[in-house]
Amino acid sequence: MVRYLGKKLLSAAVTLFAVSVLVFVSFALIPGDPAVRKLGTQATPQALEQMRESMGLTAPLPVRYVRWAAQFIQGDPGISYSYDMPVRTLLGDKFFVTMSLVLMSFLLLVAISIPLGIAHAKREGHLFDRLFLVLGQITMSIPPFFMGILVTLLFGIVLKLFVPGGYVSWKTDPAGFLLYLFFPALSIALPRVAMTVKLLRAEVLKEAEKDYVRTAYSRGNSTMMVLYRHVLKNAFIPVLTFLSMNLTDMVAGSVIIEQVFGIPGYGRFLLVSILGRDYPVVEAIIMGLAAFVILVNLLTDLLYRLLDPRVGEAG
Amino acid sequence: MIGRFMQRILKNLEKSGMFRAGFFITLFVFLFVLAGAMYTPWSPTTMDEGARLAGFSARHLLGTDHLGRDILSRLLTGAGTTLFIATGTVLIGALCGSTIGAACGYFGGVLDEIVMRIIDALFAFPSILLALVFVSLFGSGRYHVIAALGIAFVPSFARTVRGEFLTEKNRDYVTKARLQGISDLRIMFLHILPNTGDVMLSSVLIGFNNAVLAEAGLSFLGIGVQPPDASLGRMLSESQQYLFRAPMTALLPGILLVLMILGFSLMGEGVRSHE
Repeated sequence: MVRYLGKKLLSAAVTLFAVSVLVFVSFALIPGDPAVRKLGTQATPQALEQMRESMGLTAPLPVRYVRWAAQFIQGDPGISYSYDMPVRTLLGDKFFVTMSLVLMSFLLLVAISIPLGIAHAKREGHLFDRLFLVLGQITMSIPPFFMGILVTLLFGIVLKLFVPGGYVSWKTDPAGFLLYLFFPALSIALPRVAMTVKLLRAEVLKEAEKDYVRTAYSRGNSTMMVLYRHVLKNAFIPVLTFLSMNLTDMVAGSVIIEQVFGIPGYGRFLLVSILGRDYPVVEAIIMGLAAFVILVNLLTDLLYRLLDPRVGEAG
Repeated sequence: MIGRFMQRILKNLEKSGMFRAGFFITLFVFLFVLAGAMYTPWSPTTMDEGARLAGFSARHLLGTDHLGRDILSRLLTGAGTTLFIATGTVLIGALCGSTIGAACGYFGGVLDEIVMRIIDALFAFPSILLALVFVSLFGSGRYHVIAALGIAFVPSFARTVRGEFLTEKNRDYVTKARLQGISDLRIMFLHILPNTGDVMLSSVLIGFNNAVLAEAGLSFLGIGVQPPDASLGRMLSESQQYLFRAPMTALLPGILLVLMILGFSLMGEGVRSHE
């Protein structure tokens, strides 16, 4: 286990390093001089030179990378071009807002899809089963932002359960904040619920055909016992990987959902920064997200190994 | 290769009901786009001043948007834009991705290690985010979006094809071909690649599915296709403010988008279900 952990940690570190080089180099090589952007095209060459010096742009690329990375590790991703403020201050509670949204949709996803998937598998071939197969396939094909619009239309305009665009800050009203996040979270979760239910159903049905199930039955176990003590244990393993993939995808997907529901998370800020070419902010957000994705993947690998000790034994 | 592809499609049409359903939905979308390329009742950018947010009528069959532009005409051209970008994206992703994947899987070694590390690093980003980064590097507009999404799609194709090549390259027919002195390039592209047919077909279909989704997402965010070009994602984002007064301006492009994605995903499922 320790060796496996070490190997995975090393591989995660290498990936993070590769990502950071890719991000840094691509943004460093973009045409356009940040000093000119800051001072305007009318600035004198001396002033520009001074600005470049003070922004640390004169050093060779590897030196700049090391400087940037060292600062980053200490938790200081630099100064925003557009706001002249530390990126950390700017990002502060935006990550909190987004993470609350993502966490909420993930909890919804797990809470809805697992019982539904099991119920679905139990009734294989029934009308319920076939109806849900069709419904699920359609739900899966709804893009998150259209789902957001449908949710707004149904819950906001027809049923009047929430006010579209009426975001409340968590500082003034924590309960209202969570209530407002519920509908965007639902929009992110629904298409993924359909995918997870489908996968879980398929896995349970696949497992149910194996020999150990017949053995368990012949030893006098009831269907419930076989399902919950034997089949689900095995069926969950692929579902787990899928759920973790979804967690990372949701973080990216929230960029769009935040736009639909007017939530001031990192997503909107990322968009504004991309359009305004505020690269330190873009780099910081991208690196934060990549680190999150790599962390989730690492945890999944470890969990996987705990559930199925055969994993990773060979190498 | 294209002949093989057609053969696969016919075989899948015969075998899988899901594939058939998806095929007919996609066919409908294609015909819709084709019709739009030849004829639209109005120009998609003409603003009919007197009829803003109008409902269904003989003058504007599916009504108008907030600027009085004909929705049917915008759907006809917007779906075309989306499909055009998706096609370009999948072409770039599939061509570059399978070449890289084939080389890595076939030759292995240090090259494979390095390239796969980079691919892993790119894989750490969800593709919409990767596309966002590339758009911020290249700028927006339809060809930039194709380039950005195309690059963002390379890793997944490379991975799939590499996996296939890893298993195929140890088969007897490859060893035999090698002993006969056939060149590596020939073996890679004429012997092994055609044998990855179903996997390629399903990757291409999933690619289309994801490309449509990504393009619509980017345009929805306002950094994809630029006005006055119509695009389904853009229509959706513009309709948001008028959701209360004219829900159809959002529902129609949304439903068309769902049909497009549903068609491709059903076909993809159909191919995979009997692999």
